[in-house]
Amino acid sequence: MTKRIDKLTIEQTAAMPAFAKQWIDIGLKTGETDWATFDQNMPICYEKAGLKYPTRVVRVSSPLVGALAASVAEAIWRKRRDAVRDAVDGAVGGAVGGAVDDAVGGAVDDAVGDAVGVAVDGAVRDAVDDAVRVAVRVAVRDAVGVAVDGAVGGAVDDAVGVAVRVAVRDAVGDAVGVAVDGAVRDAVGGAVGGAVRVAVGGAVLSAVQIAKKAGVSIGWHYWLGGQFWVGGWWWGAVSSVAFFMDVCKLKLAKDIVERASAYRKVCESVNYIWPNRDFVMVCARPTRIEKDAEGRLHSLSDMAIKYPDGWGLHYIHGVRFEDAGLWQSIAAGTLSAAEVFAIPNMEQRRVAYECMDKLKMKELPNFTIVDQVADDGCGFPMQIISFTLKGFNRPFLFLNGFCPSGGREYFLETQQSDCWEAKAASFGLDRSVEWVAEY
Amino acid sequence: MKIKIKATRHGDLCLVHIDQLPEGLTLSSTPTLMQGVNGNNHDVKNGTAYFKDVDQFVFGYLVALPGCQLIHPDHGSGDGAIKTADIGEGVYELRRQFEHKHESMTPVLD
Repeated sequence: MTKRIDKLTIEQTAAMPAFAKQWIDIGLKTGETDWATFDQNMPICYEKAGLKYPTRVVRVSSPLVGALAASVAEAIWRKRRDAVRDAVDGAVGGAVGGAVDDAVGGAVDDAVGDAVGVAVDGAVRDAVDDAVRVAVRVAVRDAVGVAVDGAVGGAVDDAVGVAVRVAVRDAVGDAVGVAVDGAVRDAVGGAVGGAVRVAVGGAVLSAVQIAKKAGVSIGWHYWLGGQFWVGGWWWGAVSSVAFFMDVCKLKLAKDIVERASAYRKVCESVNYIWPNRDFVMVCARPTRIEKDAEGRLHSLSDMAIKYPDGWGLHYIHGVRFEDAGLWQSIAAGTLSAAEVFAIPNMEQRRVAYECMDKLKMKELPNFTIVDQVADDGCGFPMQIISFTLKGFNRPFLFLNGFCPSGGREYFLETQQSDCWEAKAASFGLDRSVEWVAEY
Repeated sequence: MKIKIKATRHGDLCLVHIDQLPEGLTLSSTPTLMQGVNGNNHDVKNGTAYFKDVDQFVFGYLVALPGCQLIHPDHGSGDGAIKTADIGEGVYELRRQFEHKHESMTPVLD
């Protein structure tokens, strides 16, 4: 066993790509959730933080349910106690990270971090976690924000649906139900057990309203990414620590090994986790993660990422479609060219065009190419296309160009009939601008 | 003689080189210069941002330090899921791209 590493061997360096691949697979694993491993190891994380493991461990079937339920439950419990994320972080992440830093030379640490951590992080967190996190965060913010203002908009009903509402209700109930006591119980009274669980149908709105009545402000409940964070971020890079321990045979103190091992197993076993002093919510793995050749979330047949309760996200080549109907029309190829160009979101329009049968362009009335440039400075052509649509007295003009980084073709609506003018005008600049670099 | 404007394009974000930072700005602590509606951030490394809505297009400034890079899933170089774009040391005006619709100008939803 090695107590300190200042330089990697050739064999260790050569092992990095395969090790990264192994952890990417762990990060993107779908299917059965390893609840037993989680149940065995999460208490160790709490123990290492000097915290008592809550008796209420609530399993949820999607991150949206977990985020909503945890936010509401946490808000109710916050009356007396704070969330424990930071304490657990400090006890496990800080200690492990510090121990590894002490034992491994900076150059080696950086090398492994770049080769393993970044690779895994890029393939898992950046591609998948970001998508889920943004979607869930927006949904929760919308749900909670709107509800606190006294009215629930369509977003909650549309996005969450009946299944989610019921699941949220049950999860909130399980997390804060019978054991609510002291100030929280006095303030919330029978509302949690009675209203939240039974009497109130719309769990999100109801739970938020109850909390509001009790003088509890709802906020975002921090979470851990579980399998989606094996590449890094909070608590350090699990995959990098694993590399030092598994491949380099780094010997760490028993206590540190226990902490690293427990957190590693937690991350290997489940999806998102909402640790709290009073409850733990934990999310099942997705049942499906589909990506394109470039590693972006993508599916034309179903949600690109889907959870056991049916919640998920529609993506085409890394572009999200909240409107499932629009996604379906694009996937089925039923949109006309005019409908594709009418899509307001340029990224969605771009991938819709990408998926569209290009022969449909001939369907556009009075389709003409107004201006053409052979080389936009990055080796791609540019052109201004024009067509008319019924009901509009002026022709439509679009700048048709390509992203210099990935070669993705896009159409940007403009009022200019000159390519260079159109490009500059889109940034409020005039034609004389010198493009020194483009990405 | 009119001085030619030098610009660096990073997807729907544009950096226009300027001589110096305007006065009265407040330093921002976030590394995110701009966030796309699809959740793709234009993040900066080795640079400091100052946000101020000047007009429809200009929404802030960037002081690019040595080794400054913009980070984005789509725009830049690299084979991974995150791409990087090298930005030369200097001061830049941050501009957002707009799409000129039939009816009005709207921010590009990228």
